[in-house]
Amino acid sequence: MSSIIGPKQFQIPRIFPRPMSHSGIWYWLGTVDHKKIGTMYGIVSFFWFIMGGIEALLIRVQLSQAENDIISPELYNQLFTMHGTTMVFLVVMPLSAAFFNWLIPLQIGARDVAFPRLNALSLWVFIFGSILMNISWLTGEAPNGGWFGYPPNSTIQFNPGNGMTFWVLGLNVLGVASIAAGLNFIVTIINMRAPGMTLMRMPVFTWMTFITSILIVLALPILGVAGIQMTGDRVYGTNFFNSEAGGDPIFWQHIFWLFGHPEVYILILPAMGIVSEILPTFARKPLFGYTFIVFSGIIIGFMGWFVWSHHMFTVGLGPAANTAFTLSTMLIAIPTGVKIFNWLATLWGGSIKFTTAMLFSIGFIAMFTIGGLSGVTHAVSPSDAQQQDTYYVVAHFHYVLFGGSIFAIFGGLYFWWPKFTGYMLNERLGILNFIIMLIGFNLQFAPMHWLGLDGMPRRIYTYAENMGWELSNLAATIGGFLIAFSVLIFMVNVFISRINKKLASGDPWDARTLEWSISSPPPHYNFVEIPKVEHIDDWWYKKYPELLEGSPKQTKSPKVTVEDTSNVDESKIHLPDLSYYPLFVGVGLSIAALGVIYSYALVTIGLILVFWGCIGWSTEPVNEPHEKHH
Amino acid sequence: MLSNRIRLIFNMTTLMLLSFALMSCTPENPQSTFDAQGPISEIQKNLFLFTFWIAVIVFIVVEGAIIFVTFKYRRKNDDLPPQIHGNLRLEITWTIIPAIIIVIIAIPTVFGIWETQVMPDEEDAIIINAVGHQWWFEFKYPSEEIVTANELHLPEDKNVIVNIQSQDVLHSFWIPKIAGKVDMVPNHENKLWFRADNPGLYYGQCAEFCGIVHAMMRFRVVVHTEENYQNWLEGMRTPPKSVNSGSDEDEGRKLFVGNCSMCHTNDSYKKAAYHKEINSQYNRWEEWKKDKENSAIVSAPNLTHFGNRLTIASGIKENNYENLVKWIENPDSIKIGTRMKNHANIYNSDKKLTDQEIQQIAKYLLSLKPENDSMASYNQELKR
Amino acid sequence: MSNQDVTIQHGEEIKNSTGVSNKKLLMWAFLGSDVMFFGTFIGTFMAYRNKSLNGPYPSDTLDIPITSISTFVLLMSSLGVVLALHYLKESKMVLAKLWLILVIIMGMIFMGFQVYEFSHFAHIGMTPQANLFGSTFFTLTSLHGAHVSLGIIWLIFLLYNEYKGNLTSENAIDLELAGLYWHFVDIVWIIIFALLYLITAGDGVPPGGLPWIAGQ
Repeated sequence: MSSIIGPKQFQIPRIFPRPMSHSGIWYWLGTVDHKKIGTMYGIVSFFWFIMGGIEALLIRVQLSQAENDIISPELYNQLFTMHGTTMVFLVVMPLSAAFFNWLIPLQIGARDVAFPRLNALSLWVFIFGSILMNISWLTGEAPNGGWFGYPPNSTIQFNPGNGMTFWVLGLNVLGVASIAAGLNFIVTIINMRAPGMTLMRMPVFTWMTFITSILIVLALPILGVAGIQMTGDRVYGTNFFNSEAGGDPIFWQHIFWLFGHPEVYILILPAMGIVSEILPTFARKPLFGYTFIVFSGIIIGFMGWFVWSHHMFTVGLGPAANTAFTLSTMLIAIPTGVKIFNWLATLWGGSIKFTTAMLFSIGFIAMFTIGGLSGVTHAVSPSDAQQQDTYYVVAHFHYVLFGGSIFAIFGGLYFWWPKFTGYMLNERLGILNFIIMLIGFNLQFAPMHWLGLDGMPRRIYTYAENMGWELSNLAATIGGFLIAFSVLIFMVNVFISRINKKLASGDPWDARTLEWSISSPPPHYNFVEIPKVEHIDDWWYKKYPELLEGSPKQTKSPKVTVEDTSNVDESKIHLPDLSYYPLFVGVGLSIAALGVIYSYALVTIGLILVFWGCIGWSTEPVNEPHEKHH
Repeated sequence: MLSNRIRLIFNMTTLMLLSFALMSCTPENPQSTFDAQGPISEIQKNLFLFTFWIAVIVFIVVEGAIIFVTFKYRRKNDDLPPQIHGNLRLEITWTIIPAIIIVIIAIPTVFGIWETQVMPDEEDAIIINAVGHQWWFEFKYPSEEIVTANELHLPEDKNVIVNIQSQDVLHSFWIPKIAGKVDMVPNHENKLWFRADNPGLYYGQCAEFCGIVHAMMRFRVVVHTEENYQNWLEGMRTPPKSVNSGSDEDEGRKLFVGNCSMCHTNDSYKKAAYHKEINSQYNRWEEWKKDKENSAIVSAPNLTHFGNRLTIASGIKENNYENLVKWIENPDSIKIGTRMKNHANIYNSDKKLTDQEIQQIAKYLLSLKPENDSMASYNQELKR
Repeated sequence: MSNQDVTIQHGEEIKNSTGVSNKKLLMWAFLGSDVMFFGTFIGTFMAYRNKSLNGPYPSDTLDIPITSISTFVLLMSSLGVVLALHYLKESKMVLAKLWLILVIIMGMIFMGFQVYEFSHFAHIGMTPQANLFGSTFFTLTSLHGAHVSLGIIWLIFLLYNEYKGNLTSENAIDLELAGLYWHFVDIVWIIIFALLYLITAGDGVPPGGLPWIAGQ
């Protein structure tokens, strides 16, 4: 029956009772615990990583030989569109969100994020949005206009059918998820830090999350507008990009890249944060130049708004505009370079242990440097006129997004796995994972620099025999399969480690930040006692206060140990209760979006679910009134 | 030891990358940007190489530091290393040095932008209007009043200004050995200028995703000596060799008129044909827009003097009898998704052609060469 | 916080790092993102100004006197929200409810004017499909109208809670948040009114555009 209604609080009547039990399917569907939400983000985005990887392998098989005909042009165009869209929106962004969810409250000494139900909303909107976008495969018409969807090719006039409509609607839904998460983390980081944790004592990962969240909240609405305009054009006959009515295809590019360039910083800053945590831990010395690293992150977040038209150097903006964007793009290389040098200086003079996490982090520095350097060559707009739309660009962004973001994410997985799960991943398999991924990655993407400079354009399903491109393409394909193999090794590692369950202590790496001061996995309330923070890397200095005075050769044994949860009276703990309303809203939003394509009835049902969910949510108390529960 | 093996792998990977970089220069490939054959691509190549070598130095410094660090500072014992938090002077230095490097790269870059993107005087230049279509290139010579498709003929050592447009979606006009690309945007006229230093055959390709068969939208550029260029112009204004009545070519001509000429013009050698063709293409496009599914008309490549063309299907196959027959019989066998296949009556109604009719059309088309074909031997050479 | 007291109260006034409650900070951050949202639509309108190839054009359709009235009403409703909040904080519930009712009514009047305006436009041939002006005008103003409508629903909900005794001076922040949102929506309208109506209402046939005759 309906739940208890307290004396003052109005609740709308419930059809289903509020989930209360902490086990079973309803627990997972109704959880508002940031840790569980982080785990679900991780699992679902890893699934899409596999899907996007399969899409890539099919592309590579088709391109391994000249004039190949294994994959038709229709399917090929869908594959590269979905590969790009999947990897950006369904993999790197939500994997980063998985880390934000798990780590931010732990790193700032809080018990959860500011708005746990909003957090759950982000998750469910993401999950159902990702399903929405991929349902299109089942209709035979996956989106086929590129992950950037340039009109007029993506307009209904030149691209009839539902494919690109799925794409815009999916992106708009996913945007809601990202914005909600961004807002949540901004409030959490500003308002919920433990006493004594000033901004300049926050871990670098928290800082990068903060800057990323601000970028998300400002950039995703721009994409939302482009999406609404294109949906209007494709479904309702508006004229935003209809060249026959005077609509300007270049206008789409401006809006898209005003979003798109901050987006690439959204994709890389969390990775930079991850690496900034791992390097000091396994080098056993502090991050070199914390202040410079934080400020260069802020500067990158700010300057990233002024470079967007470097994606449009060949569109005919004119020499003045091209000069302005050339210069702004070159300038942004400077704070990026500063970070690389600071990371190197962190390693320099250290005592480095080559754990898998450390290997991926060092690999990140190496690969991201290459991607950054090819980026500098892109900034030179005259020679970019040769590189634009060729495989040289493909090489550049894979070096920064795969060699950068994905490597860092894998490093983060190996680093924080014990914290998330309570057991260690196998290090030998991890090292094998790294080595094969490093080799496969370079084998796949290094030749693409040359292919681009040799004149091979992007987004082509085949190429002629006499072009001289076959060997490099074949090498790239082999590299792709090596990457796939390395991912398989990771999955085997997860599986075997789960079986072997080599239990992890709260602080298996003798690490530096607050999340390592609690058990692995943490109790649901995170901290027995909210810490009082006195330094950057507060946990490290609580363990080894002697290091505050000098630089002894040996540390004494740690002065404090991981929190002991055995004496906690759980009946006195009140965390927010579960709620299914975020799930309703998440499902409703995607149903409504699907209805835009298929029927107004679906839109109505979807919107009813959304409204019902929102009203239920706003009238539902954070905790049900009770004497004691759960 | 494990860390030794790891270091070995790092070093091997770095070497592999360096060797890729060194292997990179294959200027003999048809679309290599390293074989600059004109001042624009030369400026662009030089700017790239300048930036590239600076990048290589940075690469060696950074990757070298990584390799060095993995050797020297691997964990040997339990000692804590010196706990250094930072060094302001060092950090400022490595902020300023990249800034200086950026300035060094920026200066020639800005000069390069203005040099390559400001149009030269129109009086000394050849003007070309290039229009992108799904999936072929239209080339018009407004002063010479010539229209052709998928094959651009130019003289050496003369400035060329291309007015670049698109009829439908975004495309891009790119001849890698001669100049970097400029996008073809509907409702916009972009301009590109370049000069070709040496006679020869150059490859071009569309470089902006434009739909299903973007991969097969290519073109050729034939750069002539001034004399040969004039011969070519002259030839384009000369009627084709006459065909004997009753021959296969003559039958093909009749079939062409009946089945192909509503979309394909092939008599633009006539006086006043230039403006006529511009009107025709416009009308065909408007017709097609009225019914994009079922229209029997669409704007299509001009086939004047098709016999001398080096390729068919916009740079995809060599222009010879077998390929041409295959193309006419079933365009999808060479290039999937063309408008020809989707709209021409001979594929979409009971007006299908017999094998013999197809062969006759092919023979007719191959016979379309100027009466006094002074380009014949040159074309033979190019095909080789 | 100690061992015994692990309660989190989310969204309510709690001691935190800045002294601004989580809810209020969330609203400000959300309004920041909404600025980007409306800013992009407004930018689209301005970029496509005078680029329509056919009519109807702004000078044929926009009616500044009528829209001035609805603008004034919306502006006054913002004042109303300020007063409603003030009286709520002072626990002067009769006045608080009165002013909140007035705000809701004024919001509805504004929406009424919008509906009237839009149907009049559609009647004379200005639709989102007609040309660039129609597309940009209608998406911008409709999304603004959607924001206003959601605000009205929110305010009605708050009014209901005032009557039930759930909204008091103690949790007046809930009205304050709605007020912030309402002010934002009002400011956006002022910008829209200034740009779309006052500045561009004189735009007639642009170069390259077809002339437009009413009734066609």
